[in-house]
Amino acid sequence: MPDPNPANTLDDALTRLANGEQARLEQVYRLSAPRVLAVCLRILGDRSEAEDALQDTFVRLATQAGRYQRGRGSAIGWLVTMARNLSIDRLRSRTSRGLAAPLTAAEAIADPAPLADEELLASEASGRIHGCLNALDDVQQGAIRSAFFQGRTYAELAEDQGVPLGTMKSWIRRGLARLKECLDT
Amino acid sequence: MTERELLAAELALQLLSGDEQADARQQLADDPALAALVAEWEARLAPMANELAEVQPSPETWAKIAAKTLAAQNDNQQDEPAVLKARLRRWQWGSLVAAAASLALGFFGASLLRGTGSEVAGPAQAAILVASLPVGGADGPRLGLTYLRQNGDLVIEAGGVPGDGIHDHELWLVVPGAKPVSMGVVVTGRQSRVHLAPDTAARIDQGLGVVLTREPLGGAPAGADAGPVVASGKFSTI
Repeated sequence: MPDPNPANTLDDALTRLANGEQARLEQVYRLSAPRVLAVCLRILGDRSEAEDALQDTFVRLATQAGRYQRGRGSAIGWLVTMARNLSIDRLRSRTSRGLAAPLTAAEAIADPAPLADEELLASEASGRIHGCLNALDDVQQGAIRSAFFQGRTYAELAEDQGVPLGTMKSWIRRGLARLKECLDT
Repeated sequence: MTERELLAAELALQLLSGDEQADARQQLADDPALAALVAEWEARLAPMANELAEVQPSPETWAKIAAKTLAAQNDNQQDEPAVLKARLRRWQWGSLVAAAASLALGFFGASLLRGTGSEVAGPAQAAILVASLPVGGADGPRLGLTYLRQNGDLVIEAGGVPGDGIHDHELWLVVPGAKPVSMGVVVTGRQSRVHLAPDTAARIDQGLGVVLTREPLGGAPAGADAGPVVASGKFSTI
């Protein structure tokens, strides 16, 4: 049976799900799962585990969608954050079980900036964050990107780069301060 | 930027580990204003993910999500007693594992093709019957069926089953010694719920086979034989 009142956008669908329309879960999934899975896969580096993290994300969404507040960040950003956090939980539980991380330390730190891309820049929000990241020095940018995309901690980043923990912390903290300043202007 | 804002950024990026992380999480739990700063940082950073190329999930992932969340939806319905909901929920969590195990034993196909009626239960009819039909091999998606005798509804979970746009799929109850009884056309790619005709509902019992056939759009024409079987299973109790 066709939906008599379809939601046109992900924000609409997620807002309705947040308001208790459980049947919107599938629509939210159809509109967002490929991007959410991309994030899980980037962090976990394993297709099957990434699909499990995607599953975790939407099973959790079914009960926690009420926390979504429209207007405070985009729907996709909110879903990406939930998926990233759940993927990092999986990654860290894997590390604590003594299993090998999927990436070598050298690969993890060298997360290169993407090439400029029309489609990427078409989105204002992604254009801004990438513009501001590019304004940081290479070490700051690389470390923040590795933290975001691979869930690396201060301690792991310091080890990857062979610098003291305090040094890595102050690099990243200065980078974060500059990033915020750039995004807020 | 204040120390507090830096801490919020560190929490959003998950940079901390060990005791520092434990302390920060405790602060977060005690301080809603800090939680709001973390949410702001998460929203700031999330667009970084836009640079990743999208990855299409396997169809089975949605089927698993739907199976796990169906129980929660049923909890909101008034017409199913708590004990049945609890059993249904247990089945839904375990169904994929059980279906895989049954497949490994060659259980579904073999018993169905014999069309045996000997496994039909005795006089006490189970309140909930379930069936799981693998579509396209053991690693493919599955069609999940849950029959609720109390209200005569059949819940069809076809979220992971793709449609091809030029055929419909029809569900049939295999009754020994009689013609298969249609239970309707399946809406692929989603979960649906159909209310069965009383005659059909009265016949459903554990051990009875169920098959999914490929038909012209709209289902098998009246009077015509069912189309080719694309999946089969049988009803069992939870």
